[in-house]
Amino acid sequence: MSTYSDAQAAAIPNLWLSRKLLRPLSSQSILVISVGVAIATASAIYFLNQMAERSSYTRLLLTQVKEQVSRLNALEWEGIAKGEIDQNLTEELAENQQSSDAVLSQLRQVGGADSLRNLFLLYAEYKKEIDEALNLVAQGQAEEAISIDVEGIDELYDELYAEIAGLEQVYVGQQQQTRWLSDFGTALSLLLAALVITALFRQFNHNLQRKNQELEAALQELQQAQNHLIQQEKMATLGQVTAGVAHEINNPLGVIRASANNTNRALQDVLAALPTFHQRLTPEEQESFFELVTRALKPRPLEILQESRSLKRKIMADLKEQGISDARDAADLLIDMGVYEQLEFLLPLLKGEQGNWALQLAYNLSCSFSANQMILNAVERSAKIVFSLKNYSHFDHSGQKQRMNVVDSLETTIAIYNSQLKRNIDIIREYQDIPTLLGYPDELIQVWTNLIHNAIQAMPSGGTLTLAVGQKDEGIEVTVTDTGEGIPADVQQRIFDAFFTTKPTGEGSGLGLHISQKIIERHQGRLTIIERHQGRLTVFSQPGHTQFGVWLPI
Amino acid sequence: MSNAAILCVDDEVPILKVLKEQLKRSFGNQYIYEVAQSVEEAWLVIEEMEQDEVKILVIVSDWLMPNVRGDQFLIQVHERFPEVVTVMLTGQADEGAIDRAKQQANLYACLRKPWREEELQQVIRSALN
Repeated sequence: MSTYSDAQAAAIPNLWLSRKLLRPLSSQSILVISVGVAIATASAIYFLNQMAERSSYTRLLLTQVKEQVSRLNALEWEGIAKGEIDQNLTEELAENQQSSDAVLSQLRQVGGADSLRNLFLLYAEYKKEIDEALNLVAQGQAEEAISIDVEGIDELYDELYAEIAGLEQVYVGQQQQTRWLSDFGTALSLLLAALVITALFRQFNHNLQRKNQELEAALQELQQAQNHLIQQEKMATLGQVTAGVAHEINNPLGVIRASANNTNRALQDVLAALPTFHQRLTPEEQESFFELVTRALKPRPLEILQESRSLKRKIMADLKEQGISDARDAADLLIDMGVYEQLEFLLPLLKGEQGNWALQLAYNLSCSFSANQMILNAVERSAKIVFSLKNYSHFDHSGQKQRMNVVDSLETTIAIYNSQLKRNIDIIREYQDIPTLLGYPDELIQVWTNLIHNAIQAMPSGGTLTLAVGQKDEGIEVTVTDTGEGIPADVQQRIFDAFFTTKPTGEGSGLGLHISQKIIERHQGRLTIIERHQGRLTVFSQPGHTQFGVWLPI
Repeated sequence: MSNAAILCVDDEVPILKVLKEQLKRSFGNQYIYEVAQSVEEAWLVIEEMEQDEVKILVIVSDWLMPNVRGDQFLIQVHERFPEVVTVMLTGQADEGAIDRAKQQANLYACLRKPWREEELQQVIRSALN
């Protein structure tokens, strides 16, 4: 165990190091390193150039020393030849002395003392010998001077000359070397610069590529999110539709179930009552009874409840006046049977002993008929809803346009929204005769659904919804107008924007009108999807009058 | 003669008709059965009942109705007549509205259309006992 962890512990820094080395350096560190290297290289090159300069200058001074030495030698020979040191020679010697001293002193400053020590020694000796020889010449002993020349000066001169030549070689070499070094340094720094630029470029490229990939991924995510939202919007529309349909179907179903139950009960009661019918009622009472049933079975419109309630009170009061017991129940039954006028014929029956029994029996008989009528109405209404729904969800998977009637598709949508429309919203239909057009019915129904749903929501306490269809500019114009409070101007500019909604969070996706507009724009059969409808969706709104207009080409 | 009533509120006349008949067949002459086609009308009926000194025991109300929704109506009723049992009978259930009615109107039960005769009977019977 411990071996393992030791190995592991040892491996970690190695791993870390190799990762650190393998990891591409950041642009910043590359810049810092390259600036450091550039400064170092520049100072090295400067230093090398300085050195080369000095070598070159030293060599120049050495050449001058050589000249001065030769000149001194020549002057000494001149003295020997003349046998004296005349005025002219003295001047020239002094000049030579001055130049030599200056050159040597410069040389001493420039050149290293070590390498030039031999030169200075040789020169001092040479100068000493020359001075001695010149002294002899000055004393007129030219012969002796010549012997000094032969014994020492010539030899020293050669030696000195060779030393200077040697030194010259050294400095030439040094100069070339430093020049080469500085050239090499320059080349190296150029190479380094190229490397740095390459590295930076690569880094830049790498970053660019990464950014590009990130952007591509983001774009893809956005597209997915958009598809998701469009799907959600469709589901939301479906949800609204489902709620409407649930209401529209469940109400008639409730009526059907309750009516069936009531009919059962009524017929059971009738069955129980029939055997005693003739015993309980006199022939006159029987006549009144059948008159009552016949009148109850006459088809009649559904009564308005509020009116029937005041009628009931009136009948109740009349019956009470006639001394009929349970006047309230009797009046209630009569109203429910739809018999409430010219009731004089009933009075003998109601006043009789079996009045209540007879009334109940007549009610049971008649209400099984009216229950059946209600069942039929409810079935008809459900069938209409199912038919609308079938049209509504007629999705054309083929992607082919179909010849369709815009009015039909509007009516289908209204049928679905009936439960919300009929309540406190009046519908005005202004339909002109229009030709059919080629379109995508399900998409257009989605647009009508959106516009009608928005219009209903704009009129929470009721109003008028006007649907107009007519021909205009070789196309069909559909307008949906509501009498709601209107859309403020600043909101109007944005209502077609995706995700713009004025509804509370969670209620509207903000895509309804956006998608509607896209559908309408697409509604004309070009090859590209973008121009599928090629219609227009516009809005005009002021308080009490908001109109959405759709224009579709025929 | 009875002086206790059950009031049904729905915007659809056929529903009111069958509902009233059903209640009448189930509970006979024990109660008076009144119907109203809107919340506004329901308030009128409630006033009339008060004048006739008839006590309303139960109100069965639809939810999706014009102007005033069933939950709002039952909440208002509960504020004025806390002893009245409130029942909702709806074809399209809005869960938020039902919760509101439960909390603020002491909603006794929520029946879904199409309802069954037995469950309606059971709710009314247990509410009145």
